[in-house]
Amino acid sequence: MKYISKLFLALTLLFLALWQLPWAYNFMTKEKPKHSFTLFSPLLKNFISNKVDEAGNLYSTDGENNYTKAETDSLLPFFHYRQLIQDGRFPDAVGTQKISPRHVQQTNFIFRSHPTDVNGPNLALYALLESKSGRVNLEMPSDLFRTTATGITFIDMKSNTINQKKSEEFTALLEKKGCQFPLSRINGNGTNRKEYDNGYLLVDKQQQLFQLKMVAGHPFVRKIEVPGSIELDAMFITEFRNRSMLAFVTDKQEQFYVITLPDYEMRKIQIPGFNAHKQQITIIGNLYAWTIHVKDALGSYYYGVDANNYQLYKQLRQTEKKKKKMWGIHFTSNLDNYMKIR
Amino acid sequence: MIQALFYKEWIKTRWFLLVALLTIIGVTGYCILRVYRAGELNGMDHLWLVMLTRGVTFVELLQYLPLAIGGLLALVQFVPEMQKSCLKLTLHLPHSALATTYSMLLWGTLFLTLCFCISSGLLYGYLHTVFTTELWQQSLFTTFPWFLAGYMAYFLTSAICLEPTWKRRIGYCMMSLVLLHLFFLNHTAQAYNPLLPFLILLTLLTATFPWLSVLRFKAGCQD
Amino acid sequence: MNKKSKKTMEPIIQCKNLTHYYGKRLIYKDLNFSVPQGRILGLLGKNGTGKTTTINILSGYLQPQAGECKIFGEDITKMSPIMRKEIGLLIEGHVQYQFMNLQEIERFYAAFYPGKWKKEAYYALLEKLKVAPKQRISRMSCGQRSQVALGLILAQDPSLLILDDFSLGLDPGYRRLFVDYLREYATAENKTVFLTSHIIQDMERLVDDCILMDYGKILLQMPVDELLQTIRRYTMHIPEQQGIPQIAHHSLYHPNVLGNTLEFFSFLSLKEVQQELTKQNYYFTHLKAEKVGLEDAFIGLTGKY
Repeated sequence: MKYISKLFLALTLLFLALWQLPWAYNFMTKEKPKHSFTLFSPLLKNFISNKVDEAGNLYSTDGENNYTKAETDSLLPFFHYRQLIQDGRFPDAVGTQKISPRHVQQTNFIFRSHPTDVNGPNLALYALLESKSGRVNLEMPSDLFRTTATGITFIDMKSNTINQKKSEEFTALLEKKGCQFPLSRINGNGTNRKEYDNGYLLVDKQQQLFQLKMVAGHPFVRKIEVPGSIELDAMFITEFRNRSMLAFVTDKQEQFYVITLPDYEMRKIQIPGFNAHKQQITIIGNLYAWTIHVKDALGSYYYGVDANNYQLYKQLRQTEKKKKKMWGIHFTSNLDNYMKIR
Repeated sequence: MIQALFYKEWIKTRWFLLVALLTIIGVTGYCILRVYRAGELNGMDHLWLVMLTRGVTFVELLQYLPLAIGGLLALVQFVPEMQKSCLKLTLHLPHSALATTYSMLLWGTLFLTLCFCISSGLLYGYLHTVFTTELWQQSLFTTFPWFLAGYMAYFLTSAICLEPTWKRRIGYCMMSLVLLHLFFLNHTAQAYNPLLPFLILLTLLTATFPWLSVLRFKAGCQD
Repeated sequence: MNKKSKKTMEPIIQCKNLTHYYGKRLIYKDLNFSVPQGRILGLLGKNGTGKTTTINILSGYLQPQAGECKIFGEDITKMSPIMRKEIGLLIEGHVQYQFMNLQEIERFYAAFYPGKWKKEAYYALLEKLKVAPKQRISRMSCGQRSQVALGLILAQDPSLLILDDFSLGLDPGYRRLFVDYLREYATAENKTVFLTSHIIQDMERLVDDCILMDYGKILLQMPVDELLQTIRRYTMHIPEQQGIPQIAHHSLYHPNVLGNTLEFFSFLSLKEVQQELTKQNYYFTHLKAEKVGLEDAFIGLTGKY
């Protein structure tokens, strides 16, 4: 017992050393991250980044030319439209397309995803809002649903009881549309802080994709065709003002897709790759082009993508020179909110 | 003989046990009362959504209580043993020193288990009537690393009390602070689920440290 | 007071080549002693000579740097719990569980000595104390605590008693009570006792044999009777500036000249001292030899400083 105790004490001290010494070293040597705001200009067909010069002054550049603030506003009309309106410089058209502030407002969107959103921990309970309540504002439902081996179950929140009738109704329609339980993945925005509701995307055990909504209290299910070779991975329901998209989706080969409305077509976005489990993504989209910013531990990747055909205009890589971290045991991660030995 | 040792521990700790038990029941009861009152005022559906969207567990008040109870219990049990080297009397008893030491620790462990079971039982008893499985499990599972911290605090504080030299006591204190910090690194609900087996193993490892202190006491180690 | 004659029995305690340091400070090296069965042995020595060290080693709470100690033939560091039933331990200061009362502490200890525990012996002694059975030990005086400790030992009825500074903190009344009880008990039951104390008069009343420790070694081990019969304090008048006589080193203990008077202790007889001094042409007058008590013998043999 004496030797076991001494061994355990030694193991504990070793564990502490492997955990704390690297942490202390990395903590003391952490460098200030360099933030650079980069957007794709549809006028230049190039990226414009905000940088800071040696004197600490902010300036914009496309790598070859520097621009003043006013010039930058004009080169990014969809992002700085309010400034342009105030200055009276808002253009009537961009290229051959006539635009208006209202139109820009309707078509602009921002999408963000962080690995922690995907990797969890997340509760397996979902709020299915009423899509057509007749009210301007959406209301939170009185129940939540969960998926089971044989279907979906709605639980009334006030009474903590299962709504058998509703559960059977929704499960029956899903089965009728070809959904095979248990479900392998589910995604949606269970919040009423949006203008409308696109429901949930469900992936069944055969990797079939379905949209589920509640319309006037009854289920709405639509099967979405997925090209045969695609193995779906992460999904992100979107509810942008322009109502032209249902969701962003990734597959196991790290390809990135958008499901468009009203045709429910799954179209590939021509960026090299995106892994929702390891990378964060920000999409600043407008009428003409999207700036897709994918960031991971190695650096940032910027993609300028055509907003209509999702073809890649240009890409930009910004790597960060980071000091090599000391190896050791750690428990937290930027990629999820779990505590694990890493 | 284990009964006699338990009898001694009972005499030492009875008032503390009562206070600790009342405290954990009181705090758990207050957590439950908060849920009840919030449900009455805002509606249970609101609480469900708050738990779902913001990861609220309603048991945050319990976070450091098991750790405090574990640490204080060890102090109440073992400080009297070390006063004027009373531990010599205990170790001189015609009973294996190892069995004697772990009988005393077993007493504390059983009491902590009782406290944590009562707390968990009360939480489950009410929460499962108003929340669905995923939600009350979220609350309960969130408390598990805190309860483990209580056990670890008990074992580490015992080792510190039983250690005869101040130098090593300080070393153990520093080690304890870092080890216990591990249980409170992340406040996200259920974040510790994957790490629980490791934490259980680590807690069991620390249960061997009091014996090292007793061996050093028997060998007459001094500052 | 009757003292038992020495019995030739297997030693209960046997220590061989005991060596211990505290850091770099040597306490003793290659210490050897044994304690026969049925004897009351007192360990005497000045502060820092290793009495507490020896008690701690014997009670199993100090690992010596070298050497071994056996009690009942078993190495004390590996002693089985069963054998510990036969050893009664009194810790310095009569330490007992402060949080227990008289009843609780008796009930606690009784469980460890089934079939052997003498409850009546404990309560008989405690009747003399003016304390309620439910009074906590922490609220008792030092003397009352000493009786509780003694009562527990009597109830345990061990073959060997190890008492570390049994008189510490006791007033004369409690000291006398303790000594008398212990003496009677040990003699009647043929117990072996190993003890230390700073109060030599108590030791004189109690012990059969004594070990006198000096820095780093044992000065002597012998029955107290024999010590007191053979040790003498010698005083004589000497001329100024004569100095100390050159009798063999071990024959004179701590010779001390104060004015014209030389004082020393010795095991030599008066005649032997006279012969030695005359042989060396040492001038002296008024040579006196006197028997001394144990305290004076202790101071004489170990020195005042």
